[in-house]
Amino acid sequence: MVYSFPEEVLEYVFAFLSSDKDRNAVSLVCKSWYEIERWCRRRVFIGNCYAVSPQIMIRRFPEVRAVKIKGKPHFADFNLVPERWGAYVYPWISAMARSYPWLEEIKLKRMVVTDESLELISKSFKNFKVLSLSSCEGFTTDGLSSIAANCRNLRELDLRESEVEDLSGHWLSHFPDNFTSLVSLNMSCLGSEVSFSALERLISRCPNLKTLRLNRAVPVEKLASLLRRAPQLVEFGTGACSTEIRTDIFSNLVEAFSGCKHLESLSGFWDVVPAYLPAMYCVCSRITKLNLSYATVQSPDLVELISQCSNLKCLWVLDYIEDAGLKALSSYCKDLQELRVFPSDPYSAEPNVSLTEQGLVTVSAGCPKLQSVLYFCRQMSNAALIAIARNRPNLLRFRLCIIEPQAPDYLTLEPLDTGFGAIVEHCKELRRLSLSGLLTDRVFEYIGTHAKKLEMLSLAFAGDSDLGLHHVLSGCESLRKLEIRDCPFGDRALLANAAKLETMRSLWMSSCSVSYGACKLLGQKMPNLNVEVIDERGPPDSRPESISVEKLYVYRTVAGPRADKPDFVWTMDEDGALRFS
Amino acid sequence: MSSSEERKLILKSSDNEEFVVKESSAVQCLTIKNLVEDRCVSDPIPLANVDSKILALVIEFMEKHAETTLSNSEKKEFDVEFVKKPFDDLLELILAANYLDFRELMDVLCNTCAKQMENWSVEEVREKFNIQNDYTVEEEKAARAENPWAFE
Repeated sequence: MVYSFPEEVLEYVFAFLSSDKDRNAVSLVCKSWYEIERWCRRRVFIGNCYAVSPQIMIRRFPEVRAVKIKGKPHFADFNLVPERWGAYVYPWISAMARSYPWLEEIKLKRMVVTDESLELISKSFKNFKVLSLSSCEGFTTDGLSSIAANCRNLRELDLRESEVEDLSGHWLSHFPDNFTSLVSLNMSCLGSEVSFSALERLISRCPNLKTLRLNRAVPVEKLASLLRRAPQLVEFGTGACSTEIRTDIFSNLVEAFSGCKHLESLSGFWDVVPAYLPAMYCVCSRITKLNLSYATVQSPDLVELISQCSNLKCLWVLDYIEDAGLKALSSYCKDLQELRVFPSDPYSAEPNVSLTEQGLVTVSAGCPKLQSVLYFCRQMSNAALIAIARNRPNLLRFRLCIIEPQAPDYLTLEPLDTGFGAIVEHCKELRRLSLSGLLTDRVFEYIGTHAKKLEMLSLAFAGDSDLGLHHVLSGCESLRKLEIRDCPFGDRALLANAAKLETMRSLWMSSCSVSYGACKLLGQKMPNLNVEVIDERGPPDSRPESISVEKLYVYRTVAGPRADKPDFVWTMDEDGALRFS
Repeated sequence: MSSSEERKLILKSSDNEEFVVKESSAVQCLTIKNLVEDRCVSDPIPLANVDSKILALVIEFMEKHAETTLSNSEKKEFDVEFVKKPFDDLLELILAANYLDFRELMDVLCNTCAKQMENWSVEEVREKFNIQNDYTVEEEKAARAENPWAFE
């Protein structure tokens, strides 16, 4: 049957397509569908700000309301990407200011955002509602003042983990007295104290406020007053809770928490005095997400709290929880889906807590819905990894960080190849994997053979030779992001798998063995990739071609070489010549 | 006609079959509601774009959703079963719901359609919607590069 679909019907169907992948598929069906789809696409996701230009985006999608853009590669979180590398959002904001007057949402991750950008946002989009800056930097609290003062319909302001130059807490007072639309405020990364009375008044007049994450500077004795004004809160982050315990503070807190019948997520707890934790017991049974990664509290107090959270789905905690605490977690929290255990003292030579591989094994056995793990520890064994793999074949994300690089199986002193091999073999839906410990090329053979759904792989100090890299690039069909540091991978595997790089978002290699000559060759062979050499020792052609480059970042792009490179980045061009920005 | 009797309408499909429905159910279709309010109701109302098979299904949905004694969750349960139909039928129903301006039915159908389309390849979409590809090889290649590279 041949259908004649009116345009409005197709638009209506497309509106229900939730993934970009599905929208992209329908755009390719035929030319008229491409046109219909591009005019009605309202949300755009750009995984790499250099893969496309603002002009291309605007030309193709003229009626966008929400944009999400990611900038620096993930290893920037570990200070591996030098300052001034790039990922400036200003060109995007300025282009959108001209072409998207009805833009409502901007979400950015690992981008450089200036006060100028924030001011431009605040003045250009009359219906602006959502600003989310995750791990961004480059702005001050003056930029926040512009947003507060000018965005009359703002619903969300989320600054999670951004580095903000904190000039003063005065920015919050710029929200006008008739501003009432706030739904979500996350200012946890800011240092300065905001005017407490301004904060109280803001909260009082925003009846739809659901998320409030305070910064450290708000002391525990002030929390009750805030909670009483916002009993409808669903997500709440405290400030520092280090004031010496007093009965009146404690009882006020208990009363305030008991009025919050909708709380599902708690965070904050900087330097929390353990005696405050019981104030939260009355809300624990509804809590699904708990972030205790700043709570320097010992295991017994943690266990007391966690044992009341029978509906817990997500826990972030320091290794003070220890194996004993994880055992309790596994028996009380049967709905647990995500666990992140962070190191309290990663730089000490000796373990300061009794947290071993056993804790993770126990959780993997006791929590049937566990799918996402980030675990820092000091010892691991193949036996433990095999047990975890067998217990939890439903794992989607597994990031293991054994603190000492190249640490072997502590029982047998062998590499951890078979352990991680078991993980990829049993966990067939695994999408994200970070390896650590002593690893040979063997583990990469297992990964290339089994990890067919793997999208992101992070490696450090692993492997013996190019064969390792070759196994990954030739075997992992779904690979989108590969980040590697300090591995003996070089030219051969990279050049032999050049075509693979066009199927991925990006490849990062630092302190490996890729020569400048190979980078030039790669750039010549693959005109649709930007092959960027990052080298702070000066121009690569001032050294022999066989010398390894410091860092290499390769990504596919439809925007050509970027024009904003700093003086320590070179794009390998098609004709093999150097390009300076 | 006594005031306790429900007002009825007669709807005629494109293949000349007649269906009697309560006016109170039928006005969920804004096209019909407009006719009623403008007092332009003919007897029967001809629906040139909807055949009897599809019209019967639309009426089934219409009457279920007009029942005041059913709870929302009961209606949702009905919807779940209702949309278990071959994809072709869903498409025909969508066209009918659009023609009749029956928003509730459109929502349920389009949502179902979109869910079924999850992860479909381009070729699958073309086949199921019966659309001819009019891209040249070059054009398609360029479009295919841009999509996952930039916008996914």
